[in-house]
Amino acid sequence: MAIEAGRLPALTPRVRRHWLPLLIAAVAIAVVAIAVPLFFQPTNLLNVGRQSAIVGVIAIGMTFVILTGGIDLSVGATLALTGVTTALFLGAGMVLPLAIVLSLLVGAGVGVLNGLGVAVFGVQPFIMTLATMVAMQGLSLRLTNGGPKSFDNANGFFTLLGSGDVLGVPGPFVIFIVVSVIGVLTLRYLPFGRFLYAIGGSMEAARLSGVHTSRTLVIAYAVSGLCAGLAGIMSAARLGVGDPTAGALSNLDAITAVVIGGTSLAGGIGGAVGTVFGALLLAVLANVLNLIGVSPFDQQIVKGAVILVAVLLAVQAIRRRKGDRS
Amino acid sequence: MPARLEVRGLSKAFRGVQALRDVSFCLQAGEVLALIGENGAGKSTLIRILAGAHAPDAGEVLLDGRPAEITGPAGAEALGVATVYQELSLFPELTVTENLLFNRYPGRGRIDWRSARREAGALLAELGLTVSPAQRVRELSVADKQMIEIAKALRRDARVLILDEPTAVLGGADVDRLLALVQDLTRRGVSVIFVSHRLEEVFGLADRYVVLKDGELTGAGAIADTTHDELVSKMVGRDFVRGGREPGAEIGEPVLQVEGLSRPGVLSDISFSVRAGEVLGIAGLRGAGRTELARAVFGADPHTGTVLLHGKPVRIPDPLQAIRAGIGLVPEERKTQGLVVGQSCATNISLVSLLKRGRRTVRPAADQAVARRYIEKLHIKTPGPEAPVGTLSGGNQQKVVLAKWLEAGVDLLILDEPTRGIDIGAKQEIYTLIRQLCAEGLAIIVISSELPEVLALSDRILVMHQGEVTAELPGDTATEEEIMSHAVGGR
Repeated sequence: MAIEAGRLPALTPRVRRHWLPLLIAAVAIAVVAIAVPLFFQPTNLLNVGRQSAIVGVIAIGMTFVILTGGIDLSVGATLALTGVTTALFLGAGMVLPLAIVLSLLVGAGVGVLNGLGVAVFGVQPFIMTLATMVAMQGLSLRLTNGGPKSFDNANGFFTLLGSGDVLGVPGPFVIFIVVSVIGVLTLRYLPFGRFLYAIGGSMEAARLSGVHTSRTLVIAYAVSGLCAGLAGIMSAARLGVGDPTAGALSNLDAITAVVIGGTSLAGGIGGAVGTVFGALLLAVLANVLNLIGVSPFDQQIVKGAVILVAVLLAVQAIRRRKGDRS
Repeated sequence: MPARLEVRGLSKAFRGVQALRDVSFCLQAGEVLALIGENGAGKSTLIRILAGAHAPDAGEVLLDGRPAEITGPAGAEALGVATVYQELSLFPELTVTENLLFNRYPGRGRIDWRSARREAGALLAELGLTVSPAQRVRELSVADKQMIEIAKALRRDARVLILDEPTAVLGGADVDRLLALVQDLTRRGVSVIFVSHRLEEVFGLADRYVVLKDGELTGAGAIADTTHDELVSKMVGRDFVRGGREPGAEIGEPVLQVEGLSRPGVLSDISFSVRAGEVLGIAGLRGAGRTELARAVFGADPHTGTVLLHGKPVRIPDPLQAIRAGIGLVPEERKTQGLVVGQSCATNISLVSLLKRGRRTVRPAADQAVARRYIEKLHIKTPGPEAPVGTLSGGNQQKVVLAKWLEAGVDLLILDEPTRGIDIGAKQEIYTLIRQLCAEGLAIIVISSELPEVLALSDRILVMHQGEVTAELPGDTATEEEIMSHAVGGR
């Protein structure tokens, strides 16, 4: 510790706090630049951005929940559900903005349900969101009779959300960046953000400091549901159908992105900046492994190893922060 | 014959704070040694070293004349040193049998439950305990739980039994039962180290005593050769300052009046008031309901009864209402209730004022400026306002909690065990701060288990026993003995 402090005297605490994801990103980029020149082709980079977007958007919402010390397993199922509802609404002739707003509300509604279960009825977050996950999967299948629901995807704006470009940048990536900026600003500059950290750090300390803990929790889960809902709409726009089986594992990818980004699963420590890096790292990893021709099976093994190393490093940083020196 | 237990020159420091310095003493077989001292005197550290929970920085422990390397709790057990902590280490959902024989069940490969039950029953009978071996430990009284812990230690052939304040949470009849049990054990040759704040017990039970103060041995010898007053002066080691009011500070109008405050099974019919510029001390043993009273007034727990603030009746259903009404609570558990330890000093200090003032946005720069002001004003030792509060020492953490409430602005500040686990220097600073705040016209309630602290700070003292107020004493004439006699229910 003394050596490190002596060697990095000029770094601000904030930079020092985020050095880990930054370091990982820097090393990854350096290795990739040498090993896989193809990676830095603009079209490939834009592709990585596009691939990171859906999981990234979910992960930003997930960050809110994990900061409280909770978890949201239902985001993948919510993604599928809102993709399906979007397709159904559009198929029923609804105008696009209304279909989008209603589907976002469906997503937020699932989140509110989770939040009420956790905050008011005291169900453990893992179990509560597992229950809604299973139920929402069933609901999506029921609404579509099990198959993908197609709709008229002629609307240019809707295509933009999925596969289109804004000034050459993929639409989904633009959405991811916008959501990230909102997420970062909310966590840093709104009292609500502070309350999330306080609840995750110590629910009792937050309550005794006057924080309305149950309301704050419900909003946190609603944010997660809303983000998953947005991801579902993006997914439908990209696939051109409402697929009830879409995003089956995106809950785990999102959790991975959050944790790699340095947010503690125990809550109270971390933030959305790290999550953005985490989501990008996952997308970069997948892309690079593809480019160098690693088989999909081996890719998973590598991914698992990367997660483990990143989390082991993050755990140590978190321990220092809590003043736990044992 | 060598002593059963001999301690030579034990020292231990935590984060530069010397918790134990060069402590030596002996204990013979079948003797009871009373280990006494104020909270924070180093008793717990000494016990933890003997129990293998801490390794000493220097010194050695000898058992029956042989140097004993106590490596970890299992090592202590193997050497025959058993410890019963204040926080009992029983499994509440398991039965008495399972707890008694835990990890040492009879039978090879699989557990022979029949002989386990028989053995547990025999052990209980031997100690004269009437609980059933099949009962779940959760359902037992505190006294019975403690007896079970002792029985467990005996089954493991303890030669040295350490009891950490076993009587602190017990009522009169249970205390007598426990003391009788201890005496019975000594007749079988078990040596007992007995920690207690109650000197009358010490005189009734112990053969020898050891007094610790600020980690050093200030007295040791045979109980027969000492007196109550001598032990107290060795424990306290100073003539504590009375009253300590700032000159010219006036006591004003009542800020808080509580009438008939109750919570079933916890608090019954409590009435009191605190005035502006006054410190009300609340004394009592653990479990007397002091913390529960503070939490009820602060709206953290449900309660019935009337609460008046500045003469007007108010309803305080939750902490936020209390905060808006101008009440602050420095809770008992600093790390889990007072602070968000993973967060910075600045974030912690601004948390309550953020809510109270209903600010719409967080301004980190402004929060840091505020934090810097308090770091200077309260002499908080920290690398800076952005340092995680978990990395500070206990005293500095407590100052951050105080800063949080000062920044929010309060008329009434309730401090629950404000100096627990805090070193002497920071303690004095916190006392000075409490007096200053009082002189500025705040109404202050101090809950403390340390009688010298209650006496030094309070203008009036409320004594609680089993959820009731048993006495209200004037701060300038009350004595420790007087408070204690009301705290144990006016025996």
